[in-house]
Amino acid sequence: MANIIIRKPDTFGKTRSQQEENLRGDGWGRTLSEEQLDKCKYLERKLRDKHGMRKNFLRPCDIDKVK
Amino acid sequence: MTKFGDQVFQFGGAPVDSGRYSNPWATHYFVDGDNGSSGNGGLRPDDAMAKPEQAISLASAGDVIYVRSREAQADGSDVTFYNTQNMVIPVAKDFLSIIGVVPGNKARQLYGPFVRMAAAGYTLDVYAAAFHMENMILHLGGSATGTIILRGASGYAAKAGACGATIESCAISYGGMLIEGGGDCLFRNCMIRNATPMTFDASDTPARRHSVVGCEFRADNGDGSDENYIRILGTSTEFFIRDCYFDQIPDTDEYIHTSGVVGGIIANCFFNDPDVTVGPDAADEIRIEGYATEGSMRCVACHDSGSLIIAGT
Repeated sequence: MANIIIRKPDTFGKTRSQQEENLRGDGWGRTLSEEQLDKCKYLERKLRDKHGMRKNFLRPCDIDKVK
Repeated sequence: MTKFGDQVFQFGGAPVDSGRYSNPWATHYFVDGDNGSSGNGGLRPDDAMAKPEQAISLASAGDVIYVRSREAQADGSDVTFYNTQNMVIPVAKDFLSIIGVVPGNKARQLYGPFVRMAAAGYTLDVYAAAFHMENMILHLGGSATGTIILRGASGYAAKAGACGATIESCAISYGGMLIEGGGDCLFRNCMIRNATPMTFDASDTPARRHSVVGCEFRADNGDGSDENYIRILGTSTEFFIRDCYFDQIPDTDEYIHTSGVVGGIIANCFFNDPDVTVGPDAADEIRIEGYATEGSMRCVACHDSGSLIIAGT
């Protein structure tokens, strides 16, 4: 017999940029600058297009590598 | 969205492959000291918990905890703290992230989620590997032992708090950081001030590939820090300290002191003292025991407040 565990899907955002925009929308403040958010979206698009990765969480040390 | 060039650099060759990929089942928790409650579920911003340690207790490996800044005092008095108990990250909760949400984009002293602990022990005590923290202000008071400890295990290959941690854009005051052995930790764009700033202790277990990048080491209320800004003990190799700023010289007359078998590089750092020297002796402000022996730590392209620092013996 196999047990199937179903957990509630993540609703706050699948990527750092989605979560960032949700935090701002909720009036909490921000965790990235505008420039970092822009670069973050760029990296997420790269990850999606080149690696098929649609869910990820990028750190500033990764984001700031975009020059 | 801006279309950047393809100059994203990394090891390997694929344009982007160094991201932190969260667990597909990762859960996000929210902490709001002004509007949250310990009875809330913590899974939505409007159902936030009141203290970081409550979210840590519920979180699992790979989860993300967002901590909101507390509201400023209307009368201009001291910032409102998160008064915490010890925040302990057990070994099973690896890849856990704690992210401060701030009005600006970087936590500074008195500006961001300000976590303070006055009980015995460390404000943040990490046993889990690959811990990540951003935009937090950590402080200790009372009888606390220290602000952050990243625990080591048996060697740099073992999963432990001192393995793979990243601490970015955080302000750490009074208690400093103690990193026991481990490897691949990154401390980036942090402000570290007062008392016992940063100790990498690889006396019991070896350490490899730790990096301190773009950090500011501040003095103690207008005076030099009590202790060396950075101490590295034991067997620690491939150690990088770069693009950092060091304020007034500590009471010990040593900005950085390495003892034991320490290899790596100190590059492009600035020191607020007119006559900083680098060498193996007690008189050297950047004291690297065994300096200039094969494999030892080197200091290059660093400046004091007057000129380029030239190595001694």
